[in-house]
Amino acid sequence: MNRAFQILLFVSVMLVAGVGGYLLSAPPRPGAVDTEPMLEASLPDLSGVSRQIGHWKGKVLVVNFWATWCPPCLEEIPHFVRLQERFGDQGLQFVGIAIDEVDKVRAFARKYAINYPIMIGQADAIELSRTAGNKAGGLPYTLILDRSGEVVSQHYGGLDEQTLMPIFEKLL
Amino acid sequence: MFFRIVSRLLMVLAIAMPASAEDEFLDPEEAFRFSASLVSPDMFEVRYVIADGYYMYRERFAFEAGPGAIVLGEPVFPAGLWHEDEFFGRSEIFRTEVRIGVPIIAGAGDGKSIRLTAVSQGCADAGICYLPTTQTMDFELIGPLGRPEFSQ
Repeated sequence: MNRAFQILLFVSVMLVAGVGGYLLSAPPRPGAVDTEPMLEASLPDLSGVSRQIGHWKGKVLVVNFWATWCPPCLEEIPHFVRLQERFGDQGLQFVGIAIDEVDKVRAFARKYAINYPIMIGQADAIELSRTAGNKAGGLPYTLILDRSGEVVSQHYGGLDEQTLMPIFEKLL
Repeated sequence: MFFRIVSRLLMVLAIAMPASAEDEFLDPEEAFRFSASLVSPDMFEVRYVIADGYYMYRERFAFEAGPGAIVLGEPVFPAGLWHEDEFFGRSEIFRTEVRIGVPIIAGAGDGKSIRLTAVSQGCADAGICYLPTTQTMDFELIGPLGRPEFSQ
């Protein structure tokens, strides 16, 4: 193989690696997660009243899929409560979607004084989380949407104030 | 020479391309690999091979069989490990592998086949828990009172 071809091959692979690496490590691009089905969906809240997730579009929206049987989900909720308290009047809105039984969620919400809306579902909420990009079917799974409804962060696993503060400071 | 260059380039490619967030976690079917067999006419053995860094909760397994009214007994678990968290306290978990005996107490179903349905749930040490997973396996019954045999 001649030297020029080797160099060309090397440069091509590096280019593909570079572009691929950038695309995979960059924050989700606008449109990478289609949030329309999620925003249009409705689920019952803790009182049994059907709420549309898109009701809060226009705010910086944090949609958190969770369950009471999921320890990492429970760990992050006190952080969310404090952030909702602190930034709520600046347009931050957490919305929890629990894949769970209503009694368990109601008891947990009362015990931890959850100060943002919680919706509940089973198969419908599972399907919703998959539609919202949760391909691995893991919890907690959180999407952060800017005021225009575009996804700026898609996250598996627990979140805390330290991680979220810089994102909110940029968006609010 | 060519293969040496290609393998070196593939290595560069692997290093240069970071995994996306969802690729950091295995799909539940890979993290908890399910299989089942009939070890005797009245006992299923359900096996999960659990990937490194993942674990399953003992209390979240559930089994049923059909068609019709096939009654299963209490599952027989091996001793697990103890896992502690601030919300649930101590929970018994399994890592690496778990083999669970599921007794068939009564009922012959349709006399031709049995479908075992297994529900399980586990988590990754890296901080996510999977939605409960339902898996099934079908077994054919050979002869009217024959020994059921693994079919699929």
